[in-house]
Amino acid sequence: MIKKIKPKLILKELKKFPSDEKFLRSLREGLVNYVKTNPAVDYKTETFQRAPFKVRMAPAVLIGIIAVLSGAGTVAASQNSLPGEALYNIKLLSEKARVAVVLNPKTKADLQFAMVQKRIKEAKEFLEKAKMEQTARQQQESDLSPAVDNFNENLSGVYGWADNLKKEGNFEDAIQVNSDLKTAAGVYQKILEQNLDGDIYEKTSEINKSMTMVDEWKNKAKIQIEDISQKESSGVRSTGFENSAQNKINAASKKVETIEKIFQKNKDNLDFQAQQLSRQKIEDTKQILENAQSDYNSGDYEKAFEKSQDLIKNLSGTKAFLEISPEINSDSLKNLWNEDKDSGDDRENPKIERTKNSEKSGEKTKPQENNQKNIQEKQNQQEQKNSED
Amino acid sequence: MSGLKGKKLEKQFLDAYDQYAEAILRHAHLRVNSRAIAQDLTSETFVKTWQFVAGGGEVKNFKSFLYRVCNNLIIDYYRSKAKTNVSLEDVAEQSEPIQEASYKDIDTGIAFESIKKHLDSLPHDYKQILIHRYIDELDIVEIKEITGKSITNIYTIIHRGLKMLRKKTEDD
Repeated sequence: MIKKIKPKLILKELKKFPSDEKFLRSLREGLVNYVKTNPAVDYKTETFQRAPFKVRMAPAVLIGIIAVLSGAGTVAASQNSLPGEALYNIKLLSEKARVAVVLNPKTKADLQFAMVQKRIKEAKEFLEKAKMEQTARQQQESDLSPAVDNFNENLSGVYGWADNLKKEGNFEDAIQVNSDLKTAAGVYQKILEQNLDGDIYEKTSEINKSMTMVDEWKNKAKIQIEDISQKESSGVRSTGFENSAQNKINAASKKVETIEKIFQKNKDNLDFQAQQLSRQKIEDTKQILENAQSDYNSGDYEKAFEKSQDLIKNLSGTKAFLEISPEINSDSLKNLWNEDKDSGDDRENPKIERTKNSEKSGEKTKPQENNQKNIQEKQNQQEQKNSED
Repeated sequence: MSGLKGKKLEKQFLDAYDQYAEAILRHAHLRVNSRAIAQDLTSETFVKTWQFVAGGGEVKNFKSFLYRVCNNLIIDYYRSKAKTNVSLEDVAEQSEPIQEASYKDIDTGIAFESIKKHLDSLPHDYKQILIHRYIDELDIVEIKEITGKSITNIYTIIHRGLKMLRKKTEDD
């Protein structure tokens, strides 16, 4: 028989909670860095009175130091800065420091994806502004360079998380994260292609290497999605499709509902054509779902499973498009969706290998071909517009 | 504020981290029953505290301030869970088990598990205040500063909370 318990004493026992030393140490390191990057107001007064080199420093360096040391106000002011502006590097620094103090891998990846989306918005704003101000192409690339590097850094973090999800067998979430990544990379490419004159993958282009890396992340994500689908199918094949097929249909049905909600939430941000495209896509997916259910009802469980699996894959991409697509025009959105459909070819000839090999042999890579296609399309559109005017 | 004060503030903040981070993490873990979420909340607690301090805000007592920030983040976390229609019971079930402390005897061990289970079933504010009082070892005035409740109310909650725990444990 359990003796009479005194809750107070037992509650105090809960104090003997195992300490998470490793986490606390890592967090402290992150915070030290964060505090240095986001110093307290008026830190600079003391530092500049003592700085022995202030007179001899080059103006640019001095400005940089003032900016870094001038405290929370400057960091806050930097949040709206665009590539090329004085405070932009501080913005990137403070974001990095912010990410560094987050140790939970999922939260970190979510934060990194938020940074990815920020870079996309910034790129659009920056390029529109540069067009108005008629900034030279070379200057635009030079200004964009740190932003593209940061974009790649954050994509890398998100990809790492997607890989973890795949290894844990969390296939649906892994597909969603990879779809988000692929779409974000694709949209970023489109924005730069739409707005920068000339080939951004040219060897002489300052952002050539960085944009090639964006393309590589996009392809890696594409390959991951296919790989996960194949893994899932072979896993189910060994145990039988009947149960899995109905579960997959149910999961696809929930996904369709989610996409409809996201569409309703974002539709005012989309232009008319993009709205039509999105509505059509949703109707098409509902039809596929009905077909999958009728395959199941007629006993063709494998077909039902595969249709639902493909549907979830496509819906993951649609979710990502709806959330990121207001940043690009409808024609580019259509192109991105069509690229998505034609992903089968890439399984046999992964772009990563082709890109590396063709760089060695001096051939044009697929992104360069695509870019030329886009430039041609742009020219055609411009000609059409001119003739209408 | 002179520059010297800025550096002093940095030191005070990091000293506060060294003193209270473990307790904040433990508190968060007992409240949300998930190690990963507790880590996030702890990290966020300190980041937000520094943002406040670096922006010129004054913190007279780091201990109470940190618990208050942590508590607000926990409330936000529960609100976001409620929006996604996950019941709090589900959140508790989905969480990882906390490693048991060393027990004096089997009866204490069983009681530990039992208390933890019943602590989780108490109303949020009862659970919060009991944790503050007996695990965080805050005094009543500190609990008042953190929760905004009156001293009488706090004593009442402690009394009722302990009574509920004793009854639930004895019913087992």
